[in-house]
Amino acid sequence: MGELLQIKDVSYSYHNLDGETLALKDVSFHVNDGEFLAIVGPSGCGKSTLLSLIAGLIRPDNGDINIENKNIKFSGKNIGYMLQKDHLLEWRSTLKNLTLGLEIQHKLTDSSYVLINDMLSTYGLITFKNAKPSELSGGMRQRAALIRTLLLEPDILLLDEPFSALDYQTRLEVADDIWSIIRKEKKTAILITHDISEAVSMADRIIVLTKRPGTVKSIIEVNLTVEDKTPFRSRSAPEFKDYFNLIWKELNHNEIN
Amino acid sequence: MKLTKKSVTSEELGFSPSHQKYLLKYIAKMRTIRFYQLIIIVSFIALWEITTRLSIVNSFIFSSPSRVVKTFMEMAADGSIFYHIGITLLETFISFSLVIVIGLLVAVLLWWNDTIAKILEPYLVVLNSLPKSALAPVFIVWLGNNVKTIIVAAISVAVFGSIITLYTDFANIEEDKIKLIRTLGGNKRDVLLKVVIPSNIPSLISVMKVNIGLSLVGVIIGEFLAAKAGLGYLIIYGSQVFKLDWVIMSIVILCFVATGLYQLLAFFEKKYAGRSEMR
Repeated sequence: MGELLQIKDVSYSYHNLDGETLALKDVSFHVNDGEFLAIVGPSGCGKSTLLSLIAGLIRPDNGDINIENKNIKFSGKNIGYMLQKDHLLEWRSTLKNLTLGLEIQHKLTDSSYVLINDMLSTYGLITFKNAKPSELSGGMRQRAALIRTLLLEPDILLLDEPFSALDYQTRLEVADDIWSIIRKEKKTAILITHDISEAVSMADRIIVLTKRPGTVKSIIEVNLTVEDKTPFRSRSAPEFKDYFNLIWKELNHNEIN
Repeated sequence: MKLTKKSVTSEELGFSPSHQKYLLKYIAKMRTIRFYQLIIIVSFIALWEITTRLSIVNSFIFSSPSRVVKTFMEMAADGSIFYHIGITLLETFISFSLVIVIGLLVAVLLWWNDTIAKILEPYLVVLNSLPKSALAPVFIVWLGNNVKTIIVAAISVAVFGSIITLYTDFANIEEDKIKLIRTLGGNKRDVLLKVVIPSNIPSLISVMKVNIGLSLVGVIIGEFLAAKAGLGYLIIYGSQVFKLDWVIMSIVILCFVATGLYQLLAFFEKKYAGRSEMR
């Protein structure tokens, strides 16, 4: 497991007529190949900005973002991005929603449909292939959105609070689903969340950001004693509470300063 | 709820008594509405016919239902009325299609380039609020006493409103939908074709519904000033030579034409909604 993604001294500010807002300041960390990394931080600490930077949607004012020591633009690696809401397009069938990315990148071939059908049956959506997104449950929609992202064969998967729009029970189920899909496909993932339990239950490592301007406050390795790890089972691991309290303290300590 | 003669009774369908009561109440209300709608039109026509027959109002000035029908029959016999209706419809359809094409193209351009949109905004607002009938005489001078003037007049009535409505709807697309296309590797063209246009089909249809009526308004204004045929011509010529039967008949026909055009688009809208539900 080598370093896949390096982020070095990255800063970014937003500009509007009222002035300048420094969102991120000298952020540095790395992500290992095949790792599940979670980033937690108070709201407005620039978590989403960080993902947009990694996805290459915006460019950092300072610093470098490299994949295997090459700038993201030239690395030849794909980055998948899963947004907070599924944003399935209502006028397309589920199948047509899944092919959207392939269509845009002109990669849609007959063999893609074989792969899509495989994924649909593996992840329990095959009977809803021709259904409108509105007929899908919240969890199914989120799974469909993940398949849409995975079909582009990303080397790194960015998850921007992908469960926050779901109710609590669905949230736990979908977290299990998505986590096992990502593990099964052996993807490197970065999850952004403000839910500490979610971060502890899913991640191998957790990065805590300070409030705005966001910088790395601490990096915590998560080692839970649990058999057949799933995010749900992780929650009953004996160390779970300790990690929770540790991160809670890190975040609150933040606010006092 | 459609009740045919062979329909099953509500007991057979297993409706509860309270639901039966609700349905009966609903049917009764619908009947009342239909009844009064009919009463209004029947009594209006009857009153018009009787008062003109009894010479309470002057049928020379007000025409009468029977005279309208008679005039229509005469003009239908020599085919001239269909010629006039045809001309008006043709002009309306040409103007309508041009309004939609121009409206869509300009709205896309404005959406594509925010700077152009900002530059043109005050001009569009002024042109949209300007009473377009004021322009019609100018068009005659510029374009001549012909069909070109009528079509340009009709386009001017509808096009600015369409541009503004479509552009506003395009610009209000959810920011995250654009982000989605970008995260999937798409560019601005993909955003336009995959999200902006498809999500605005309902808005485009409602713009079309408004515009078919506005195009007809524009065509009639144009025909008042620069025409040798069409319903607008018939109305203005009839009033000049005191053939009020022509005028009133044309207005009655316009009522049917306008309703028909609107229904036509309502039909397409329904068909689209049905199709998108099927998929």
